[in-house]
Formats: sequence, structure tokens, C-alpha cells
Amino acid sequence: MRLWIVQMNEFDLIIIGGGPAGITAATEAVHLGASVALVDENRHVGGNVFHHRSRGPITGPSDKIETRIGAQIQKDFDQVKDRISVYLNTEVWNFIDKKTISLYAKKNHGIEEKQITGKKLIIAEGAFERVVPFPGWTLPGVFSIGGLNALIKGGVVPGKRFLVAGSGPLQLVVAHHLINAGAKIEAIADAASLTETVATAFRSLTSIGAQRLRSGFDYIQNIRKQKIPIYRARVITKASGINEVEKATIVRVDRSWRPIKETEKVLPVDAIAYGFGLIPSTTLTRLCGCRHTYDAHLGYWRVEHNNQMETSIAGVFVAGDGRTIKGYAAAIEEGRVAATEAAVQLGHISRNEVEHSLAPARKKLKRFRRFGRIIDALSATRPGVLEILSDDTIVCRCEEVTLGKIASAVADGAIDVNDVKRRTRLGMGHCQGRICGQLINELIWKFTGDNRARALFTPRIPAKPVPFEALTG
Amino acid sequence: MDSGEKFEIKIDDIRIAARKGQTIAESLLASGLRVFRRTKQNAPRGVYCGIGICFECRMIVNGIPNVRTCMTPAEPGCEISTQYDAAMDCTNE
Amino acid sequence: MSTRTSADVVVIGGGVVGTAVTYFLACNHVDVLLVDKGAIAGGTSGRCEGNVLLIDKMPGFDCHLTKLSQNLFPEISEELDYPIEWTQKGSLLLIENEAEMEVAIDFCQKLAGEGLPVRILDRHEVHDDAPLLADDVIGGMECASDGLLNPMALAQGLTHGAKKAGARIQSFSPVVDIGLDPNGRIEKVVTETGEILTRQVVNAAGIWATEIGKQVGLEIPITPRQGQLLVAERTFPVAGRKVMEFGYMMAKFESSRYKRDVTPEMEAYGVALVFEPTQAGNFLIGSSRRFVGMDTACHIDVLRAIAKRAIRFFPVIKQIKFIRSYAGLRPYTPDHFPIISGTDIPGFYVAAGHEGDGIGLSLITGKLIAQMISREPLAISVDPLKLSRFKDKQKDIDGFGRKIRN
Repeated sequence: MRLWIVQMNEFDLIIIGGGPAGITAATEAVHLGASVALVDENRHVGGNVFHHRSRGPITGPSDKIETRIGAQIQKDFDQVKDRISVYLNTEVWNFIDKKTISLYAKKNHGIEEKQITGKKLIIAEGAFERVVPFPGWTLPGVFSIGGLNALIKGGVVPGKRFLVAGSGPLQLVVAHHLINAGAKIEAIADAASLTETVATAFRSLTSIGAQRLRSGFDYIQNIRKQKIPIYRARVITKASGINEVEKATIVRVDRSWRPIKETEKVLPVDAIAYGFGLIPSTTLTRLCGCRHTYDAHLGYWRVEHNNQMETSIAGVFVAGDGRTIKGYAAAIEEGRVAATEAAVQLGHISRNEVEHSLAPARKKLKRFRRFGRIIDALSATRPGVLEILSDDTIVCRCEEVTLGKIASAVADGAIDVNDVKRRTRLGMGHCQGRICGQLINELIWKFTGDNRARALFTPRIPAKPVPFEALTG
Repeated sequence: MDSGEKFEIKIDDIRIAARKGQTIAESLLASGLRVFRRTKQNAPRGVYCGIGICFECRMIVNGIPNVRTCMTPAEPGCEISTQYDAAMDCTNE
Repeated sequence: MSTRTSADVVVIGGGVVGTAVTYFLACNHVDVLLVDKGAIAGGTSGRCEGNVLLIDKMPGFDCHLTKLSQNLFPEISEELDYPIEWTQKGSLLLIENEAEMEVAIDFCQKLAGEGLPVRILDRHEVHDDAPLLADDVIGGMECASDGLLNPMALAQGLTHGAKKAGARIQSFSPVVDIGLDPNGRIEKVVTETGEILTRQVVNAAGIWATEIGKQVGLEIPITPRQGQLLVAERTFPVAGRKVMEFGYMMAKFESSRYKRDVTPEMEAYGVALVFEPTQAGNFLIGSSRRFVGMDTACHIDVLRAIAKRAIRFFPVIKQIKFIRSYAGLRPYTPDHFPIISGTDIPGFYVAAGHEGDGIGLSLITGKLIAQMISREPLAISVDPLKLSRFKDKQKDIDGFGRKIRN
């Protein structure tokens, strides 16, 4: 795929994010007659689900499903990509006026700094891991589940004895990939109890296809075959090692994920994958100025939008996991819907024509969203899990700000993330509070007993760090 | 699909194998190297999120500090150094 | 929840100035209560740089006032027992050409005459001092006593110290009214969370001081003047102390015909190089000046101009990443001097309008107000800083009767 096919700077539609939602939206929009630009910071399209070329063996139906679907949307995209201006390896770092965005890309022989303007905008920035720390979580060898999954799919096994822990369906997925890659899993520790897991499976039956459910069973079969112990109602309470992980301690928890004394178990592991589901990335939607709301049920901030996937800013749409977490299949449908709605606004197609063609997508989405909500509710952290943190546990990794410092700031009167930030430097590092942002809100609620979702960090230029030369060219 | 053609890269004066299509982080991890960086307080850090958000995997690549190795392709002749954040401080003189 | 309380003095505004006033009052055993509409340092003090500079002050009162303040920092830093990140490595002004050098030499001599530790650096010395400087910079001027700190930490530290000395602090209590009795004396301060009975108020509300002044019928001519800043990532050292450009200062002198070699944007936005290393290891790049009301959003064209100017002096900055930008609003007065003053309203004081020198002048402001209220002899006469000076018909004359230059 050639980079930098730039024929013009003005487009009908700009799509930010080349994951399943983004490339589907791009493909759809081109078919509907729009001029399209697609921007992604990675070197390939596909997003975190698809862009890592899987070099490991493929077994299990879901892997096959995932690969088939990935190949299909890639194929559809490839057929029209010559009609799309595709900007890869490119950061969006600024919104100039909601429809004009600043791009920066580092190339081998210099930099490319550019502005492009779209009549309509789709932001499909995807998701990242919900972060739940524990003492020792910053040691090399502790990975987020998505991060480890990506490495495994890329053919790299970064450890010898693994502990997979946390909650949510990704646990099974990453365990499955680890086994297929020949890695040894010492144990799986799930925060959910067996009862909860089974109940969730039943509730999910109506929302997901039989194929997907079967793949869930296949994962479990694979795990059983390896005789990997599964500990339920357990969370990680500590990881230790001199320079890297050498062992981990898990502990039994109650329904609020509160540790139960004297139930610790030490596991000899050198790699940990720990995750509690995903939360939508709202970096770009916030910088753009879209309104957001805190969804207490799902346990995260999300961008507000209407039935047409349009945000509070006219002409700016959202799609995919960047909106709410539902997985790639839903992201694909949402990409289709958002692109179609944008095309209606552009006048390329009429509302009547569209209602008919979008009906199947909307129906599928209803199901996916139900599933998404069930899974999210399962993954949303419960207050008890923060009780394993001690005063010297790092909360903001970038600036090495500990829980103790945050507790002091709150005791001193800080009531929101921005005030904690001013007092402790939390959120002032390279990631600008992306990793710890959700968590710090939860900690403030825990310390103050005040559950009002007040704020996330104020969004500012640049959306992601870019060199000064991006400003000057 | 990336061909997987092999070449060498350097990490702190040690030569390791890398494959075309791999990121620097992947090449290092494949060689069993997991400590990429030392924080201001000298704590060891490595890959965490793997998708370019946390910046924990940052190292000095070809002289440029704070490069996200999980997002940067390994290339023949690439020189990487463990980043010591205590030295990344404008108050040092 | 509405409360009723009383205090001898109510200070309005919890930025560096308000907290300094509160601290000095509390240390004087005055029963003081500080209110802020939000969090401590939630206004301009949370959106600025942290410098305490003498190098850009005019000889005379400007210099004397600032020197008194600067001298307080080392001892306060110790006294507060709170990490305010105070360092005193001096500051450097960069000189671009012979025209600037001529003026700088004269200026430097005058400041030396005031007893400041200043000196001129020649081409060799300035490049020795800052090896990454652009080759064509011909020299510099240094003031060895200039220092840097963390302004938010300073406000927090002063708050802590004030509390220890018996002051009360009420955040998230916006002032809605200041009640006067039938004789026109202050009676109470009314906030959203309750009433405070008092006879004395210090208006240290920065860019909101005008609004507070209206509560008692006073006209306080403070206008917000926006400044934007870029925050760089922690990287290899670029320079070890505060660096600015001399060229911008030229406007303060008689040679107001001097024009720097800058783009129209830099001129329009009042862009001048400011490089400030922070204790955290990041450096800040500024600066700009625009009147945009209460807007704290950054404008990309201003950021571009700031970046260009910085790269002109430190080309290595091109490759360094910036991780954030932000903007603060300086409380500007028509003659660039703050208002540290009693007023026609008995018991009502103003401690605001410090423009870009709020951090540096915070301590002397606190001390002077405390002296005024406790009826102690003032560390320096503050006649030039009276609020009443603005009633002068001739708006372009400053407190000394000199013509004002922007």
C-alpha cells in the first residue's frame, strides 16, 4: 500500500482511525460517492484487532472467524483504496475548527506536516485497556491483556511462565493464543466467581451468535487440555522481582472484589497479562469538543451521540469501540452506519434509500450492543479491587505518582482530577493521563465518598506528543 | 505479509536478531530483553500497553530519545539504547 | 449548606498573591479567612511559568520592589517546609545584534548601579553558557540572582503555612456579594456557601478582581492578557536556566523605533522567546500576549509563532516533542504595575494586577498588605501602586509621571 497518495487537501469525509470501524466506513463512503481521507497512526490499517499479522498457528473457530472477517473487510477496502487518500503512520494532533485537522507523520527523509479539511468527520479512535494496578504492576513482564495479545499474534512470546488474570472475555482469548504459541500458562485467575461467569454466559446467549459461544467453549476446552488451573474470584495482589517479574500473588475476593484475608497464593511466574476489559479512547472526541457523559453502568466516560451516530458537533460522527465497547463485529456495522449517515448529510444519498439499506446493520447492532453492555458491566471494576493498593503503589506510571500522594492531595481538598494533577503532577507525562485517567476518578470517589463524575483531564493540543517541527513545518 | 527476512540491530552495543516487519519492541522481547528503560527514580520499565498509548516502552533510537519502540519498525543498522530518564532532565548540566 | 462565620480579614482569591497575603497575615496573628471560587491555584497561578526575575525590571521602583520580593524567596522556601522547587540559577537574556547590545550594556550598567548581580556576556561566553544556542546570537545579559519555582506548589505551600499559623481556607466558595453597612463600611462577605462577617477584605482575585471590585462600587482596571505556553517532553538537557530574548524588552526603552526581525504573526501576538526548565525535568516554551477576554484556549497560530521563535534560538528544539500546550491570563493594568493599595472604602484593599510578575511579586505583596493591615511601617512606599492613580486624566502616564510604553 502506497503511503501519501495526496491528491487534495479537502474531502467530503475524513475518517480518523483505520480499524474495523474506520476502514468499513471508508469503503462504504467511497461506494456512496464521497471523497474520503483515512488517517491512522499505525503502519497498516486494521486497528489493534487486525493489523498485527498473525504468524502463529490458527486454531479454534473464533480465530478463524476473526481472520475471515478481517480478510473480508481488508479486501473490500483494497478494492477501493486507490480512491481514498490514506495517511498511515500519521498522527492527528489538532483540530483547527472541528473539520480541519492537523496531521503529522515522520518519514525516512524528513517530516510531513499537513492540514486536511473535511465536510464531515468520523472519529473511530478505538479503545484501550481499563487499568487496574497492583503493587509491582510497573515491573517489566506485566502486560495489559491487549498488549500481550498483540505480541503473541505477532509471533513473540515475552516470557516463560504466564499468569493471565483480570476479568472479561479477552482473558480466554489471550490464554488461547498463548497456548497455541506454545507458551506455558501457570494459572488463570478470574475476578468473577464461577456463578457470575456462568450467569453471564447465559445472558450473552441471546446476544451473540452460536458460533461465538462455541468458540468460547473451545477456548475453555483448550485450557482444560493443558490442565491449566483456573482460579475464580481472584485478583492479583502483588508482583515482585528485582528487575522483572519473578512471582505473583493472587488473593480471593468477595463480590465487591474486596480481598479476603489469609487467602493469598504465590505463583512462580515471569509474565503477567492483566486486564479488566476495554474503555473507549476519547482523546480525539474530547479535543474536538464533543460532549461526553459518564456511564455509571458501563463504568466509563463516553461521547454523546444521536441515533445517526452524530456527536454534539454537527457533522462529526463516531463509530466503533471508540464509542462504546462492543467488539470488532459491531465496529464494522457502526462504521457502515456512520458513513451512510454522513453520506446522507452530504447529499449523496437520500434518507429514504438509506433507512432500508441500514435496517440489517441496525438490527445486528442492537444485539451487539446488548452483548457489549453485559460484558462491560462484568468488567467494570468494583471498589474492593482498589483495596490492594498500598500507599507506595504507583498510580500514574509516567510521573511515578503513588497512591499515598493522591490520598494526601484529596485529604488536602482536591476534589477532581485536575486539582490532583496540579498538586501531584499526575497526568503530566507523555501519556497525558490516558492510562491513569479513569482510575484516578475511581480513586477520588473512593477517597471522598462522592460519586459525582466531575471531569477528565482537560484536553489540549497536541492530541499525542509531536515534535515542535509539526508546528513550524 | 511480511517476509520475515532477518537482520541485526544493536541494543546497548549488543547485536541481536530482528525480522522484517517486527517492531523494535518485538525484536527485543523475542531476544528475551524486557527492561527497556529506567525511570527518574531508577525503576525498571518495559512494554505495558503495546499499542502506543502508555509510552512505557520508550527508548533512545538512533540518538533520538522517547521513541515508542512498540510503534517503531526495526530496521537494519538500528541503534537502540536503554533510556535512563534521570539523564533526560533539562536541569542537568 | 449555608454557614455563618466571622473573621478579622477575608482574602478573596487563592492564587499565589492571595495565599501569600493570607500567609503573612496569619504569621502576624491576624484572624484571616481565605476564600476562592474554586481550588487553590485554580486560576492564573495554575496556568503560568514560575519565575522570579529581576533581569527585566526598570531601574528605580520597579527594581526595588522586585528585589525586596526576590530576597524573600530563599527564606520562605525554608520556612514553608513544603517543596516549592525553588532554584536560583540566574537568568539569561539573548542578544541578537549590535543595536540590542548597545542598549543592553547601558541597561546592565544601570541595574548594576542598583546593586543587582548582572553582567554582559560576549559571544564566546554566551555560547559557552548555552552550547546549543543558535550560532548567530552575539551575546547575552545575565542576572545571577534570578530564580524559578513551581507556582502551584508555592500557592499550596503558602496555604499550608497559613493554616498552620491559624488561617482558615474555604475553597469552592464563590463570592456573590460584599455587604456594606449604612456608613459604607464593609460588613460581610457573602459566598455561595454562606456568610462571613468581617470589616476588612483583601481583593486578590487576579483577573476577577474587577468583578469583585464592582461588589463595592470600585473601578479596578484589570484586563486579562493571554499568554500561551508549550510543554516539552523530558529529553537531553537543552539549557539549564531561564533564557529569554532581549529584543522584546527593547520596547520598554526610549528606542521604541526598534523592530525585531520577526514575522508579522510574532509581532501581532507579542511573541518573545521564553525558555524555562522545570524541576520536573520538562522545559516550558513561551511566550505570547493577546487580549482575548477570558479565553484560556490555545490558538494554533500563536503556538506556531512561539515554536518558530524558540527554534530560531535553539534549533535542536525542532526534533523535541511537545506534550501539551496551555494558556493563562495575566491580570494586566494600563501601566503594567500591580495595585497594592487601600481604597476609598475603609477596610477594602486591592492586591491584584501583577500581569506577568505575579509569582515574583507575590511575597512582597503579601508582606506589604500584612503591614498595611497591621499598621506596621511598609517595607517600601507603595504610592506608585495606588488604585487611585488610574483616576488620572492622562491615561498614558504611569505612577511616576512617566509616559507609558507598551
